Amino acid sequence: MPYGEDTGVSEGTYITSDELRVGHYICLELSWLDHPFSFNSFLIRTPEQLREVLALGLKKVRIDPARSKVASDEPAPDAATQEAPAEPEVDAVMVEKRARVERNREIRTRINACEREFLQAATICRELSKDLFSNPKKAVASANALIKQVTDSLLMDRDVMVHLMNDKVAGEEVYYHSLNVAMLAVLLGKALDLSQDVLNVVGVSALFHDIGKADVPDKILLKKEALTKAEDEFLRQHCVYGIEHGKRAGLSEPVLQVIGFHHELMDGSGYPKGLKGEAIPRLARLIGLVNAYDNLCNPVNQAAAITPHEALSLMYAKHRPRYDEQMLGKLIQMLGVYPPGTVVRLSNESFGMVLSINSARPLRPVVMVYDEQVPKEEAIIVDLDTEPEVGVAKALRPNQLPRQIFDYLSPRKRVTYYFDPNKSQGTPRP
Amino acid sequence: MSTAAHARALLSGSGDILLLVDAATRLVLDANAKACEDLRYAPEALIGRPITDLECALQDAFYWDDVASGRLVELHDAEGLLACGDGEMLPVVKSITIDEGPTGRWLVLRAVDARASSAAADELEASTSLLRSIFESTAEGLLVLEIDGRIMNFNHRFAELWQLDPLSMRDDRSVLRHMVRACRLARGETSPWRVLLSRDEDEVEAQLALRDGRTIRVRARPLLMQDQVRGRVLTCSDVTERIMYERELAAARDAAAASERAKASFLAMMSHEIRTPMAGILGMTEIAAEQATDGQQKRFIDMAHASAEGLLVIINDLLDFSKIEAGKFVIESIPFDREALFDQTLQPLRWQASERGLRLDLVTGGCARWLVGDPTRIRQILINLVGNALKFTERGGVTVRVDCLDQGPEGVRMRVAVQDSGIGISPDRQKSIFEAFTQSDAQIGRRFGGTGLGLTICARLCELMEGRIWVDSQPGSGSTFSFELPLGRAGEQDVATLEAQLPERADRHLRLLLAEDTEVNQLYLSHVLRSAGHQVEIVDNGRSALEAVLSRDFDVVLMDVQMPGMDGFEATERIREAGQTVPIVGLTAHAMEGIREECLSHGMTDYLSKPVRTTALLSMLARFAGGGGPREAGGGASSGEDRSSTGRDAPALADPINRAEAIRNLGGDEGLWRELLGMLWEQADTDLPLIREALDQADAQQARDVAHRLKSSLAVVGAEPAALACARVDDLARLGDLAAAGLAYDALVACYEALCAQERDPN
Repeated sequence: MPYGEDTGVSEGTYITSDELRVGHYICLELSWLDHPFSFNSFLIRTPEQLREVLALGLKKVRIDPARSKVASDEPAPDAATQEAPAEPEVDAVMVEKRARVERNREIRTRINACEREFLQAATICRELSKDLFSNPKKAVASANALIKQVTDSLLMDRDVMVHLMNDKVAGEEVYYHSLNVAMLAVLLGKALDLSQDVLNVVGVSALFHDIGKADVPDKILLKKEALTKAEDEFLRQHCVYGIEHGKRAGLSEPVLQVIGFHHELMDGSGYPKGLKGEAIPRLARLIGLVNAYDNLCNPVNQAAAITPHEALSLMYAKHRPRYDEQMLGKLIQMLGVYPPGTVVRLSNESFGMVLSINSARPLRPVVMVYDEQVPKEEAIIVDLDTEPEVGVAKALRPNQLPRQIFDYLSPRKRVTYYFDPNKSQGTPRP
Repeated sequence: MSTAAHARALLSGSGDILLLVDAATRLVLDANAKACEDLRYAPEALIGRPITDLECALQDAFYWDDVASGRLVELHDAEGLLACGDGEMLPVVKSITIDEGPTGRWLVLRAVDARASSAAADELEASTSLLRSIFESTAEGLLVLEIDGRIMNFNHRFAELWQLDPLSMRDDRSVLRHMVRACRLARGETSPWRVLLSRDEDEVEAQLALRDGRTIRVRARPLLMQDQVRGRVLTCSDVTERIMYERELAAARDAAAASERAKASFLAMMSHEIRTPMAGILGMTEIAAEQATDGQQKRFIDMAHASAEGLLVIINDLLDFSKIEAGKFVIESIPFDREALFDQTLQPLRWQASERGLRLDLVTGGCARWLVGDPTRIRQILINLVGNALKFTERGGVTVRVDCLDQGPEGVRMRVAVQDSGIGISPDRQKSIFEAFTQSDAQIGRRFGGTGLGLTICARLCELMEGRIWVDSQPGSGSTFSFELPLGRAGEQDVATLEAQLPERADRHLRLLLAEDTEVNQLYLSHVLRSAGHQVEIVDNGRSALEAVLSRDFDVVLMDVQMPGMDGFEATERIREAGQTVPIVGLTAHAMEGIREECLSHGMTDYLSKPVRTTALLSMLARFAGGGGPREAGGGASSGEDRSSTGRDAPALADPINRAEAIRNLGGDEGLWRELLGMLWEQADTDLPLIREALDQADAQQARDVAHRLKSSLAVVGAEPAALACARVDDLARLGDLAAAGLAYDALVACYEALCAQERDPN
């Protein structure tokens, strides 16, 4: 193909609108706001969609033959030859779409607000670990206050949105394992229909579950390579040390139990006592489960990190006997098959990253979609719950992504969650 | 029953994993042989097991939850993960269909082992991410274009270099346009499109100057897949700093070259301008010392003279060294007499040696006598090495050995070894001894003086003459400095010419009478003469000289012209009147025009000007030693006599211009010499009539001024005879003898005309 300064690059195949039919994969060269579809590029699946495309009045349409599912000699269906489509219907779609732009903005605003809340909580968290030894009373009081605030807002709604925090906010410096565990634990506790009093204990004990690590040298805590037997033994002692610290700080008995037993496993393979099944206190099981999940997603050695999807899969497929079955099931239901932070390929062949999960509809997450025609800052955010046509086809590893898509979606190095504390009416739905 | 058996047979015959699940209980009702085999379960262990024990992909949790709540959905070609009896996980591609069983709804799960494709996918992913890591880890920006110019890929470094936002680039063209827009498109520079779109099979390289001041080097190479050109790979790197550095370097080099050239012409001028007054200082201090009556005054003047001599050596060294370093040293290739060269060179050094009680021997092995090379430079090396040897030797002596290696018909390799019995040189100092600015050690430098450049100059001269120099030494037991030079053999014609020029050899010791009233000169001259093996009798006035000549036989008389009582002229006349034909050489300090004629007119055979230079004296005596008479008057040019004090007609007979020397003094720049010569013609055409006019009008000052400036211009181009005549006009005008100056002017015009005849283009 000749290519020079004055000749254009051929960028695809164009067909006239009367050649267009169901099964063509089209690429609309219009602003996203100038057409009623969720995506700029998609497969025409129904005659209705075809009519809507024709209603745009385009003389020619760019198609991607490779992704089209139509034989070239296939006769055009009736729809293509039919006269003007139902205008009002399309108008309604456009109105709806504009409303969705509004909602996009709203989601973004809420995520931003959420990030601010998270930052505040992270700051309190940092104070906590400082105060715990010097001023235990103050530390316990502020932990209680923080958790009470969380459970208060959490219990107002049946549905809870779990958002992925941006690395820039929840960067490595602000990554607080205990906060992350506390958030997930409280959310899981709510899914298990625990009372607010119990949820408060869950939250506080999650915040303090690792206090015993203060006595373990950083050399062991931050070691990226596998620990030696001796180092591992030392590390395991943090459960015991934690109880001592907790007693001194005047933490309640249920909290102390979590600190002492959050590494026990249902099959008896945990530590320090190798307790089995029901012998492990319930809250210790709950926090142990969430703790395990967070450690898989955010290990000390970041190179060993696996995606949230992989982490849940691993726990479900291989480690199922270690965990409380009901709790694991609830965790999976809560985070879904594609937890926030998972990079996915959608059924319409687009790429995206899961931003948020509505715990009531875990298989239909909110996804940020890659579209080369839309600037990253204004990336299309699609709530799959409102897009019955489109689903998640597959979870991907970030390095499977083509370069430009990776740049666009910029998957997080740390997977940090926070719930949406400002939501009072549930997710707005069309 | 038979239907069930048929079904079972079908089930077990399938190559796929088949599991029959009860939708109500989600327990496995039946499994085929393939299922038991692949999942590594005994049939009885499989049947009755909850399906969720086997199905363990994350989405299965949701699927079977839905089934439990009565929402049955069929699945086709879904990815799945089955837990095996041994704990392994089996990746599968599965389908689930709904069937109506006798007791309720059944689900039929059909699965195919996907390990192979999933392993292949994993491997592909691993190698893809490795390739991507490499792609991103290179220091250079990479852009991969398809054959039609479409962009296949680029890395972050590329985006960074070209400052493009990878996300805002909608299409391939906009990336290329962005790159071209970033370039500064100057007339005559490579169009960036050429390298971006080149389809050559070879590498194309361009340095693109960007508007922001940076320079990016882009290299495009074909992307080959299975020997087919599939596109091009462009490698981009920021070479701004390197280019800046190179430019600075080039500028510095140009500046250095310019300053080198300026330095060379400056040196050429300085060489002339410094040596001339130095000669004046040396001559005048010598005369002043000779005439000083006060002992202390004389000591001071002697010290000044010695200092001036030392200074001249240093200046000569520095000028030579600078010229060599500037690459402006021109080596001549002329025929010469090796024996004469060595004899003449070593003669004054012998005197120096004997003064310090040292021997200086010359041993000649078999070596050709008539050679072609640069005798001046060989002499310079020899003087340096022997001078050094003497300087560093306290007792014993110095032996110079000359040998010829590889004596072929065309040429020889001459080896000269200068061996001393001095203090020697330690091995570590031997290494650096030929490098600039080192001397055996700083203390020695202070003790013996000198610039320390002598050996460096020798080494460079040897290098220039394509020879080599080296040293063998043992501290305490002396050193031997040797050099080897390739030299040509002189042709027959040349040998004849050389032989004709040859003075008779001073192989006969002469009986000499020295008539000289100054004690210092008596000492000096008698020392020189005795060192050369002559017998010397000294008298201090004309009358004693006359008596001596009349009473005893002398081969030569050296007669000071000015003596108390009977002066040299009168004594000579009396000697001639007495019928004596002994050669009488007048010694005079007068640099006056006509002095030669005056000497001859009083019956003298030849004359020497004071201060008497050893070489001039000895070579003149050599002429008489052979029994031959005095040379024709006017042969002064080859007698070693300083031309500035020889007779008026001498310059006219000499070569009007010493072109080679002048060009050498100009650093070998013949163009510069021609330029100066052109300027001279113009100047002389104006200045010569001006001098004539000034002399006619008795304006001595004007005559001097013009003569003086013309002299410099003549000297610079090497018109030595004319320059000397010019100097004489100046001198005589200064003395107020305008008539004599007029004669000198005529000589100047004659010299100048000879010069024009030879060098000036008639056009």
